[in-house]
Amino acid sequence: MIKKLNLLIYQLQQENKKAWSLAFIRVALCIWFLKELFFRYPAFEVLYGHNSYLKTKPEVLIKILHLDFYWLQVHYKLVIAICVLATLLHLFGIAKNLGAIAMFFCYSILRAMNTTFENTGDEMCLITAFYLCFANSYQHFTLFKSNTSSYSKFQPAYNLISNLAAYSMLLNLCLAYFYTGYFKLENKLWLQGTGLQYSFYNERFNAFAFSKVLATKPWIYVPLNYGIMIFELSLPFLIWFKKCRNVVVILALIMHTYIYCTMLIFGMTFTFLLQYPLFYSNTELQNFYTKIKYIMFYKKTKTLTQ
Amino acid sequence: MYTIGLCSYNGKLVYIEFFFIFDAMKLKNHLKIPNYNKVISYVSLFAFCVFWVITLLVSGMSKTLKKHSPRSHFYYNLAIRQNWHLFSNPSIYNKQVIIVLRQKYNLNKCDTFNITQYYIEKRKQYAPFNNYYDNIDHILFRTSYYVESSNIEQVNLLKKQDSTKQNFWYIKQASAITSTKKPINGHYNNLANLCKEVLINENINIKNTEYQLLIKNNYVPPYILTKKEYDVDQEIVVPCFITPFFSF
Repeated sequence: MIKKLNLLIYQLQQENKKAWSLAFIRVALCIWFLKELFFRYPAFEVLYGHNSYLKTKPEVLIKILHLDFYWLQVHYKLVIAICVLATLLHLFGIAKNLGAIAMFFCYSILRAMNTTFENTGDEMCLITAFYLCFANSYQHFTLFKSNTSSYSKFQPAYNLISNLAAYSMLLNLCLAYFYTGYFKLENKLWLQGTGLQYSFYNERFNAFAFSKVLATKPWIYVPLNYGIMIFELSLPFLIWFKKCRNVVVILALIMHTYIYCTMLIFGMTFTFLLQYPLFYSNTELQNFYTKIKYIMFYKKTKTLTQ
Repeated sequence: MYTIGLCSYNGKLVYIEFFFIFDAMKLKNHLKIPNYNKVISYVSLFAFCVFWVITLLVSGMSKTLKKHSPRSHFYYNLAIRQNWHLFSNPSIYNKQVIIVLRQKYNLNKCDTFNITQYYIEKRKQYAPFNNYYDNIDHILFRTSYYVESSNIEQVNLLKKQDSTKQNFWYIKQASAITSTKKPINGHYNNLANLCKEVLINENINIKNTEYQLLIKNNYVPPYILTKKEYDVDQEIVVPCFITPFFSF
């Protein structure tokens, strides 16, 4: 047992197995945070200001940290500016994990100032930011290249923690799917095959009128209803097998694309899809990249020669 | 640990070096650094396992944990929230928030404005780059849900006192309490302010007018949903909150 544990630790210490995906997640998450803040700009006063017509109660986190909620509300622009600064630091890989911690801390406070409009996407974003505090996502896509020749004394431990953080993200994603499927199993409507029908019918999640049309076609919504349940329950297990991985990822991509395009749910879709590259190793991603590069280059040269 | 280094160049003694400190440092590094790594690795792995056991328990048995140990549930959800019920409880109705406007001196003339539809339409515009309306719509939905919940509580309290009246009477009475009595009117105030904001944005004249807030649930029976073109008139409308008229 101890030998196996030592072997596992040794394997996790050898390299940062998800360096490429972690770097991608860092950049994408920071851009997403910035985008959210930028397009939320007209609502800042309403959501965070002390003169807002909406009266909100602060989360207990603010009390625990002994922060003055009124002061935060008065100086909400400063809080947001610090959030933007922390995001930029993390985006460019400056201050490494300290930047990640600063970003997580800032957004936790911002969230605690008003949780009334929080959605699943925001929750998943914050969870991902939390795991990034421990991950080494600075091997790629950084402003300043770290000196690779200077091998830190604690590099093996850092690799291990980074790998554990990456696996935590994967587990969290699997957990989200599994519990969503599991709680659907507890619901009568989903068991009867009408859960999806009611979701189609819900006006708040209808970008187009055809969703209501889909709600009238049992040959569409009944198989899809059970299909989604089976998919959500089996994804956390199937995705770990190399043979099924690509199929599962494609199915998830289709499902999330539908949600993004037609159900007016953007944050959740983005933050879930964002983490899918983690299921692939560094070499697999590099191979994929070279494949795409080759196809593009091959096509270019072909058109040039013709 | 004491070593002397003798170096010679072309048969001549060039220098003598004491490697004492250097060697000791090397040995220290050799002995200590892997140990540090080992300790950190074991602690990290242990923390990882503990964290995941707790996470699985918290997210899987959130309801039970909330009942039996609300404090631990609360502390876990402080910074990160594991709440994965995505569409697990699909709504069987569409909730509508409606504001009714009435002239103070002409009680027969009424205008209605569907606030929910207004925000849904706004969300569709410029999607996905309209976080403002997305956020406000979310707040509207949550506030209306809270208002409805507190109204149901009031209805139950009223029914306990006297259960002889019709249901609509209780809803009206409870709504009057929910919209005026402190501190339960906190969510109602937010809802009313959201509605007023829409009227201001749409340049609707609110001078000499009174308003009434209405929350209704539009149910569609399942047999209608299966029809090719379902009939909106057959929707079952259940009012769940109806305030008296207030002036702005």
